[in-house]
Order: sequence, then C-alpha cells, then structure tokens
Amino acid sequence: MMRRSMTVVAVAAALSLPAMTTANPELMKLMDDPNNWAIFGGDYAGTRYSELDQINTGNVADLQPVWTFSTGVLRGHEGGPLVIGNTLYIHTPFPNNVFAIDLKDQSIIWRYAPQQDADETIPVMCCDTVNRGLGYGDGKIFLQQADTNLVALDAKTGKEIWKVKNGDPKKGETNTNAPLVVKDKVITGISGGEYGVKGFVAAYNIKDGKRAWKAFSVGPDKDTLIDPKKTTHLGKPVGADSSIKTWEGDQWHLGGGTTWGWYSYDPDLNLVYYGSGNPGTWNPVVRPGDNRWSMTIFARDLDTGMAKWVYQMTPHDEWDYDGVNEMILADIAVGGKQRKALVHFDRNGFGYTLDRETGELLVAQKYDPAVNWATKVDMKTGRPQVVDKYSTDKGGQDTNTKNICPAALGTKDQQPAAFSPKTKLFYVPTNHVCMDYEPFEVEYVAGQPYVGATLSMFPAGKVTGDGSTHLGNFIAWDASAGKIVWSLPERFSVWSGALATAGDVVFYGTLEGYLKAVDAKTGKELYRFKTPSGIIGNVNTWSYDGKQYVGVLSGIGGWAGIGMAAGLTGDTEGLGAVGAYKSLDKYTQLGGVLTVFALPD
Amino acid sequence: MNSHYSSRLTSLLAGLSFAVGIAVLPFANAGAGGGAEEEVATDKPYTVDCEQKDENGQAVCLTDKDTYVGWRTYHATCHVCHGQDAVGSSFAPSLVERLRVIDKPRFEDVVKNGMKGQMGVMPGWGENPNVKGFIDELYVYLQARSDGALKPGRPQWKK
Repeated sequence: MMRRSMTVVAVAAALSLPAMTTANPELMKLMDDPNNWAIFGGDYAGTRYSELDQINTGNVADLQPVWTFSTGVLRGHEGGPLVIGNTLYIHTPFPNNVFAIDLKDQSIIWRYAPQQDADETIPVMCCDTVNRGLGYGDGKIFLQQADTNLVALDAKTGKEIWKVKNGDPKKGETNTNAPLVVKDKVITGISGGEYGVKGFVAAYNIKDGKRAWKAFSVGPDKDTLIDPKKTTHLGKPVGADSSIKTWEGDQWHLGGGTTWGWYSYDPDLNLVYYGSGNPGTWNPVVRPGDNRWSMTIFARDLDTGMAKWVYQMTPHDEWDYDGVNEMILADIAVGGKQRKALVHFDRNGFGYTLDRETGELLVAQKYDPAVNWATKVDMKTGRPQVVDKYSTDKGGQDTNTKNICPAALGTKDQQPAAFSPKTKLFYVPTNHVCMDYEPFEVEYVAGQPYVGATLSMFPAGKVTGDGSTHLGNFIAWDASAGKIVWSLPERFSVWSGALATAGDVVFYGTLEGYLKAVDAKTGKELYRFKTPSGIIGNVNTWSYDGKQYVGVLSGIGGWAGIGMAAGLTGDTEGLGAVGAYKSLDKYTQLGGVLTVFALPD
Repeated sequence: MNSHYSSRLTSLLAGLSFAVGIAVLPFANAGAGGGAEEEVATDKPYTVDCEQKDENGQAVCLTDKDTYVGWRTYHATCHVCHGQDAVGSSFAPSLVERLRVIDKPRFEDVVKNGMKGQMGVMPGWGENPNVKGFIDELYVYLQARSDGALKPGRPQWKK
C-alpha cells in the first residue's frame, strides 16, 4: 500500500464526497510524511517501512547510539515510540505511563501517569504486563490501559479529555493492544483468552469516547456483526449462526477469540483487518467443533463494524495458535496478476497471502520448514491438513502429545514483520521452538485462568534432528511464491518488530539485547549494538532537523520472558531435549530504556 | 477407582485410565540442599528416580503420584508466571530457589492468599478449583525440584 496514493484518496474524498467522514485527513498527511512515525505500524497498511534513506547499506556500519531514555518501569517493553513533528511519544508497560519528549533536547514536555488497580489488573494478565503502544489522531494521544480504560489525552498538554471503560478485569478482561485511530474512530480489542474471555473489537468516537459499535468473535450473528448472506468465507456466504453452529450448547460463552494483536486499515475499501485468538480453553477435547470464529482473519467495515469477509486459519484449535498477528496490506503480484493482498504470518507456522478485498486465499506455505502439525493447507477448502500424530485432540486428555512444531508461542507471535516495496520482500522475526502438549480437564471460574493444558517447549532442532539448538530465525519471505529467501539463525527467538527502509537496511532486535541492521537484499549483518536489556519492542525510524534516527525499546519480558528468561532447559543426558542448558538471564536482566541511534555528524 | 485415593483427587483422575496402586521405588535423593537438611528426617515426601529410561530409550524421571500431580498442577497454572520447571521468569521468582528458604506454612499461605512481592503481584489461588485441592502435591513437586532430585521436564508416575 503506497502512502502517496492514500494522500490522494484523502484529498479526493474531501473535495468530491463531502458526505464521507474524513475526520482526520490530518493523520493521513502526518503518516505520509516519512519524517514522522505517526502510527504503530508506520502506516495504515502496517508495512513498518520508511522512505527515509539517509541511513543506508553504505553507512549503517557507522550508526551509533545518540541518546537514551529510561522509562522508569521494569517489565516487558513491547511496541515503540510515535514521532510527530518535533515530539516523540512513548508509553510504558504497567502502569502505562506516557511521556511526550521534545526532540530538540530530549526534555519531557509532559507526563501522564494513570492510576490503575494493580491488585485487580496484574493477576489477570497472562503474559506479562506489556503494552503495545499509543495512537494519535485529531490532536489527541490515545492510551489503551491494561485495566481496559481507553483514554484520550491532549497531545500538547497530556491533559485527559475523555476516558471510557472497555472491559472488566474482574471477568479476566484486560488490554495490551495498541489502539488504531482511523477516520472519526478509535478501534481497540480485548485480552483474556486464557481466562475464558469472549473476544471483541470495539470502535469509539474520537470526539467523545462514545462507543460506535462492538463486534464479538463468537456468538450469535447480532453479536458478531455478521450478515449471513453478505459476509463471506472464501467467497461463500457464511449463512446464519455461522459461529454458534460450530460450538456445542453454550460453550461459546467461554469461546475466546480475543483481539490483542495489531490492526490495519485500507482507506479505499474502508475495511479494518485483524485476527482473533484461541477458542478459550486449551483443552480441545471439551469443545468439539470448528469453534468459529476463533483463529480467524476478519475484514470489517470501519463505519458499521459489519464483517465483509472472514477466514478461519486453524479450525478447532488444539495448540493455542492465536490468529492475532499483524495483517500487512501490500499490493504485490501473485501468480502473475497484480493483487491487493493481505499477508499474515500466523502463529500456526503458515504464511498466508489473501486478496484483501474478497478474502480469497492465494498462498499458504510454511515459513519455517520445521512446522509439522499440518502437512499443508488445502487451497480449495482453506483447511489445514492436520497430522494425527500431532493432534492433541486425537492424543486425548491426559496424553502428552509430543514433538509438535511450532510450540504454542508459534512460528511467530505478536512481534510484527516489515515489508519493503523496493525488494518486495517481507522481513519476519520468527521462533524456532517445538513442544509437548498435554490437555486435561479444568473448571472455569470467572476471573481465573481457564487453560487446561501443560506444555514443555524446546528447540526445534530436537524434532528436526539436525542437531541445532537455536530458538529463532530472522527471515526474508516472498509472499507471492510462499518461499523463504534467506534466513539468519538466532540463539533465541526473535521477539522484536522489524523495520525496513528505503536505504535497503532492515532492522530488528534480539532477546540478548542487540539492535541489528542487515542488508535487505542479502541479510548480511552490517551493524549491531547491545542495548541495556533484551528487546521485545519494535524498531521505528523518524527524522528530526534533517537527521534520520532509529529507536527501539529494550526491556525483557512478555511471553519471551516467561518461556525463556530462565531458559529452555536441556540435558545432554536425556529427558528428550537437545543441547546444553540455555539461559537468557546469562545475557540480559530486566530493563526499560529507549535507545536512539543516528549516523555521526 | 481404588478407595485408597482421597476423594479430592477423584476429579483430577476421573477419566484417566491409570492402573491403581503405587509402586514402591528405591529411595533416591540426589539433592544436596542447605544446612537445614541435617535436622530433617531422612525420608522425603517424594520418591524420585531419574536413572530410568522410557520405552524410547530416553532418560526419564519416575516419581510417586504426589510429585506427578504436583507437576501437573504446577504446569496448568503456575508456569504462566513462574516458568517451565519452576525456574522463574523475568517477573516471577524461581521456585526452585524460593523453596530452599520458605517453609510449608508460608508456601501454603502465599498460594492460597497471594502476595505483593518484590517483582510483582501474585494472585491467590485458594478459591481456584484447579489448585486449591492440590497444594500439598504442589509442595512435594517443588521440593523435589528445589532439592535437585527431580530434573526439569515431564516426570512419569511410576504406578
């Protein structure tokens, strides 16, 4: 999706279609200016691509840290800064403080410190108290707090303009996602798939925080905002009660489908794209059926919330392969034909390419060869062909189904990939981890974990038998063909968001804390610097006063902090795990720092 | 179901097809622990044998039922914060280490009522049906891990 065309659309809309709401042509203009980083994904398409090329393959080896900022918080630091004009806005993990920083001298212009109830909120956050970032629009900074309050702040002063409660931590609901600001609305979701929470997406009015619409992932059509005749799945209308029909009895009430990932938007089609998470309990035996619409890509009309199309990637999930990862919108050629595509690297190990207008499935290929739970995706039915040996449902309750790849944290989790329209490649931070998974019966109690499976994770090398012990790869992917173009092995999972630039440099961060720069065409490493803590944040770039900067948050945590901060233990003598004991805490401790890099003067 | 088992375990074991009875394993305690061990009676609440191999020839730790149940309870709920095999995470301490310095009453109190620690907030599990009936077994499992008797990974219950 080229930003230039979006500006044209916005202007044309303002001139020729006065009836259409274009409440923030301002934001479109800001996003179109490569000196800014005005939205979490760089643009509405989520390409994480910058047209800045002052930093390029010829000089990035001279990159150096030029200033740093400690957030004052320790815990997993996901997301990244927004930069608009001369101001940088940065958020923190719980308690979700917000800072506006003057780029001239890095002084703090204003600070917003929410008051949240830690005792009520933190215990129901499954996977560390992360926050994926802020939104900007209409002169406001939007903060989606962990306790589900969505807050609008005056971008100049940090004063609270409105605040709305989006959920209830007493029911296990919290928030970790970044909100999407688009037209006259702010879009946000909900977390709590491990607490039996029913997932939804809600749209609130920018002006006053009133809710415009709310769409659940599971339930009756009036709740899911699905039109039985118009909403399609792979080109066919889904019919009445498409969700409920795939659950037994009332089970859909604990049906999950949470929406804690990233959101993208196509202004021409007026569609918001996102994915839904696991269908509640990790024990598949107790919830027979396809469990729609968990693990699903949604395309919803921005104004009404009605679903235009859906595609369920992992029917009847048996492995916790949440479908919430980013939906990158890119115009690429597939099968010799130019397509308005949507590219998605799912937890389940398949890299999907769809037509974002119709929801037609174009490509579905494994982006890690170790993936084994399915042989392939049937392109006619869209269904993965599950291998019985790796089916935890077939294995049954109280059976340890072994050597499933990928592990529950997926071939990729929320850490977002980047797309370069120059190379036409996607740059993907991946995990190379497999698991044993044992479902068993658990009781549901509101506000308490409702998981029902144990899992053991280990390097994929144990299953592939190649003797490798690395836990991640950073890859370049061709979404037209569904092929890996190059792959850089990493000691630990690559848990940071990637950045691609017109300088043909691609950036990512490692769990040891290295910021790395590689050649976009070949993957050759050109620069690295060890930041104060492991990186699970996203690398963003902007310009100030004619100079290009690259910034990334360090602060180990998130699910990486649980799964790997203490290491995936292995014993050369046995217990089935390959390789020596690995401990991330040999390389990093907790931190909370934004490090900003630039070329020497 | 053999009446030897207490009723609280019935719900856990319902649906299982394990044979009844517990094999008596040779005593095997590889743990060194700290100086306090000198005062404690020589028998531990767990029996762990990590010298065995499973049907695929892979090394495996055979344990008594309580240790296995504790492993299962732990990895259903506690591992989300305290990490796989109780080794800790970036925001919750290693229980392998903690069990060396806290006693059982303290352990029970914290599991039931939660606490605000140095690193974060721990909820209480006293009302959670998946935990509250298995605190003894949790303690047995974590002691076995903390003593170094039970290696990381899934133990096998030797019936």
